[in-house]
Amino acid sequence: MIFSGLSQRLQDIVSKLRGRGRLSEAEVKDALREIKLALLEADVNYKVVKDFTAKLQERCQGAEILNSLTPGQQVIKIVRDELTALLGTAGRGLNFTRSKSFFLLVGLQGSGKTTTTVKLARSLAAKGKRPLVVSLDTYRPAAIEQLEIAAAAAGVDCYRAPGAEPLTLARNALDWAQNTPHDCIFFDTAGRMHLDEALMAELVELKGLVKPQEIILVLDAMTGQDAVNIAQGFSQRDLVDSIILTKLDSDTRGGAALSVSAVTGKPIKYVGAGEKADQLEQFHPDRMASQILGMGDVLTLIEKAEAAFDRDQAAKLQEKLRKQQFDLDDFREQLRQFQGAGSLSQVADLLPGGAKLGKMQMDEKELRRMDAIISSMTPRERQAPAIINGSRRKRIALGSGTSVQQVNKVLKQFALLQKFMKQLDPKKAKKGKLPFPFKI
Amino acid sequence: MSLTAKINKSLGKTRAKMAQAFQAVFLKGAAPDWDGLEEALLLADVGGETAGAIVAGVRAKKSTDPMAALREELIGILDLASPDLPVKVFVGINGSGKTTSLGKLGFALARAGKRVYVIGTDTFRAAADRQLEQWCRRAQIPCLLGKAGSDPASVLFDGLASAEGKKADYVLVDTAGRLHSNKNLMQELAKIMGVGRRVRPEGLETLLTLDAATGQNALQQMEIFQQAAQPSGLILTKLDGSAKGGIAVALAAKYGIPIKYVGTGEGPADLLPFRAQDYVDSLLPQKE
Repeated sequence: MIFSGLSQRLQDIVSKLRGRGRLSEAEVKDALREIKLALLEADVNYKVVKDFTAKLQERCQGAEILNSLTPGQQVIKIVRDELTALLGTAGRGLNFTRSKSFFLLVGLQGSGKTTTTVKLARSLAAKGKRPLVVSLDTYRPAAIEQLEIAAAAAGVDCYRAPGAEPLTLARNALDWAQNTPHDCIFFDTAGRMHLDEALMAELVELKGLVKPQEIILVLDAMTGQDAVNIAQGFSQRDLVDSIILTKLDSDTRGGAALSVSAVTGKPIKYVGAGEKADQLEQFHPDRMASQILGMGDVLTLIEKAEAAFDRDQAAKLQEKLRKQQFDLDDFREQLRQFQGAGSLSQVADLLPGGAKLGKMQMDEKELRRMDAIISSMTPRERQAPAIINGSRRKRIALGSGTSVQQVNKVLKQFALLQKFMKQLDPKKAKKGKLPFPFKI
Repeated sequence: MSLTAKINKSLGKTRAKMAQAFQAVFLKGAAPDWDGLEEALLLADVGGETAGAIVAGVRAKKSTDPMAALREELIGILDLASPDLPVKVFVGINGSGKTTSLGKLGFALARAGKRVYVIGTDTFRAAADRQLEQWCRRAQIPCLLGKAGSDPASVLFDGLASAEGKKADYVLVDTAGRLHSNKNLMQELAKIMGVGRRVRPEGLETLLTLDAATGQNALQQMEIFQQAAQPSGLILTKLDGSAKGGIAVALAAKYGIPIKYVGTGEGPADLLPFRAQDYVDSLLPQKE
């Protein structure tokens, strides 16, 4: 597909930048061009991209390149940090007042307002709130029934307000809810185009009547360049306090998120990912940033690896490797670091020469099992694996709750790793360029 | 009202801005601003690949009137057709406008004196059947609507049999909205299509509804819907917003799929047959 090459292209550019202390202007330009393309293909608005890359250029040129990162990855890290910053903060819930809070859900037709209304109410009910949902959509056929049925299926209270037009419905619902125990009331409004003056005016009137705590703009994550106009249309009339992105379970890169954040400056609070009532998640700007750049795994790993990697241990390990004293204790130490960093095959991709290791295909569960096996060995066994004979293997298997075959597998993998390390050029090791443990 | 007039009316200011962007590209007496053209196309969601190809195509024409060359290039891409077949299955992602488009088309066909039959196979979404029922009642069209939770493929099978009995000229089939990324739902669609094509080996076409505001993800949608349902045409919906639906240009260029109808509102008359000429005219500045 179109996007598959993108991550690779970025990687290529980035790998060319390896090994310098500071980036040249031309290098930054090259990298930024790829990033610009990446953002455009992710549907970030063209104008937002332009502003954004201009800002990046400044930051990249001044940036010192950390020793732990290749300059290229440093550039991507800056991009990601900037993206994340622009996307706002994570995990903020809705604002409530002490007694009754009102919320209006607004957006274009088909953006997912009704589904989101039910999801929001359900998630708050699970947190001990008493939500009520009310449909004000008198336009689309069966819209009110849709909310009613979906709410009933999710176990959420729904009030069918009498009346023929949205303002009457809202007024009646407000009256009715005065004497009920509900503490947060969600109004699902009809889908409307931001260009439709009459319907936008109606929304302004609704706002005046309901006095909502928050007006939530519901936006399809697959929206293209127009996300900017949509966001502007609603925010110009002061009709956006927060944003929910829907349909993120599609494979969209979701650049619209960046566009709306840039235009409105309002927080994205939740994302919808599925048709079921429980498929509403908190918004994570960092994840979104990675997704927009289309290199989620790598970026997350850079961070994870940075966090998980203990520099002192690495120095010790390098020393051991140089003297070829790498034993099962060290192996276990490595495994534990990998456990912090995510699945090993992904980490392996980051390692120079890691492709070989990647073939071992180990996941987190596997890592834990290996850890258990090595931990069931005696210290002597760990230092001199050669002494592990048949009966020792049986004991280790029993102790770790695994089988002899699995113990054999670990020993074999360790032997392979040892062999791999012996092949390393000791001269490079002195320069501190040992490819293992991972040097990012 | 013609398509151009209708889109123009609804686009208003945005359209003017859009036209300005294209206008600025080809200023009289100055060299054409090719980067500017690419930018204008990107802003219309045409996408990098197709925008690049269009710019290259226009440049290759070496015309003294680059605006006319652009018009020609766009019409060349969009002027596609596929036969109008009696059984039309509406597919697309959630909220793209399947049911509304179907309702509007049914309305138009019934008004033109055709015998129309509607089959509703969205047995999943809450009140989907009632939404369609209201449309059918409005247009006085007989319909078979699957009960919530029932198997969509068998609803289609029964529906096609009953449409046969009613000697319908057109059978419009609504399906549940599904994201292309959902494997199970795409398999379900393949099954529905399998049943449809077995019962009506000839005379069945699939229409993919596409929200005009959709970005580059539409290419993935197309790719995967093509595997499951082989759409023969697009319905570009919600063109009454500020979105230009430029992604349909990318789809036409890449897949040769024609846009068959465009939706411009929620009223029964807000669906029009697509004409490449009109659409391009609505995108570009008026001829002087």
